[in-house]
Amino acid sequence: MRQRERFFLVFFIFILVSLIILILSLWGHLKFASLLLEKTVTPLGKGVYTAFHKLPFLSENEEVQKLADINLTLVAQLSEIEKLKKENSALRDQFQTPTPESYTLLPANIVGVPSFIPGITTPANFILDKGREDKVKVGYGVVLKDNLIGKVVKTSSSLAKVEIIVNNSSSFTAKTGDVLGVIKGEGKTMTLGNVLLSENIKTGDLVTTKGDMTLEGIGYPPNLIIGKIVSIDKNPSELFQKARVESFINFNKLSIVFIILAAE
Amino acid sequence: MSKIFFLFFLIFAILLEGTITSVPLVLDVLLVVYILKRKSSLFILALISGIVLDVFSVRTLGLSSIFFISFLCIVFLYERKFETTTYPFVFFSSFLGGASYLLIFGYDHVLEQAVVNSIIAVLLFKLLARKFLHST
Repeated sequence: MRQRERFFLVFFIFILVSLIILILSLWGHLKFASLLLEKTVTPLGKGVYTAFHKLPFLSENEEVQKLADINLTLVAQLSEIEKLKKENSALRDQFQTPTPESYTLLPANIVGVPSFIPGITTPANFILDKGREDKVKVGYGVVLKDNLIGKVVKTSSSLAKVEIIVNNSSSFTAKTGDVLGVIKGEGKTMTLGNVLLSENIKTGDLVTTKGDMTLEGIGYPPNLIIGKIVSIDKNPSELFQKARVESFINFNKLSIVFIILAAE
Repeated sequence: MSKIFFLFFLIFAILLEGTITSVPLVLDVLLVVYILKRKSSLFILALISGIVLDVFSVRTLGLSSIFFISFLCIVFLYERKFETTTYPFVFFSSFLGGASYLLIFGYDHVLEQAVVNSIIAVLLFKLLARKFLHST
């Protein structure tokens, strides 16, 4: 009985301490302690993450890695050509030069990718080693080359949590050619929905961001590659058609990404 | 010696859960250690490991600690009703604890991860019980 009372006493003390820490953290009074902890654990996390990716059954063949990189570059070039074609056409029509898109990119190392089966299951989030100290804000886009990775959903002093585009709660406007739609994450792939039945989309088409960036740099800039259409679900009795979209990025193999800070 | 052994498991679990997996391994280690040792001093480890996990996962500090401490308290409350040092108890308590943890903190594949979590807890219990339960 006495041991039981002692147990409850200890329980209440520790739950009270945890609550105090939670409240102080919510009010922002633990910034220094939090920063100190982050600076301590981040190298550890990065070390574990790097070591894990060096495991023989997870590290990719060098040639496969090279081909994947070339593929990403070619896809980016294809998207760029499409964009240039449109710009050229617009220039000819309107005799004006569109403002070239230029963004400040902040390189960030991935220090954590919690997923169900590491290296196999597609992760839903990344933890990056850049935070509020590096002027990273919630809503900033994250890219690799011209490919969209996701957006920052939470920041601490020196870390940021990124929601990957395939995350179930990810949703934003996108386009394929001139056709508009809404991309929704499905865990492993994405769905391009809200596409009018009259619109013509086909398998293999590139899907890019429509662009919804605010002046503060929150949101996605236009023409970032989301992926390609792998199948189309078109039912004549429905108002909209939808397509399954796959990203070109293997989210399990990333180690560095870039945060779009703001338009210059 | 056993303290160092448990601490090693806990640090290993924190590092894995903080960086590469979303399976609640820390919860497993805390549960198994509590069942084997039954010491209220384990709350301090629950508090510290919760804070470190919150830092790794960019969560508000204290959230995981509250969950871990409350979970250990619930296990303590069931000590009188069930025989806790058994495989079924370890399996079901880690399943329920893991599923609640994954739901509260918004992870995917809740059911699958909770099952894997329970299997890991049972294996850990088997490993540690053989080494420490009979020696105490």
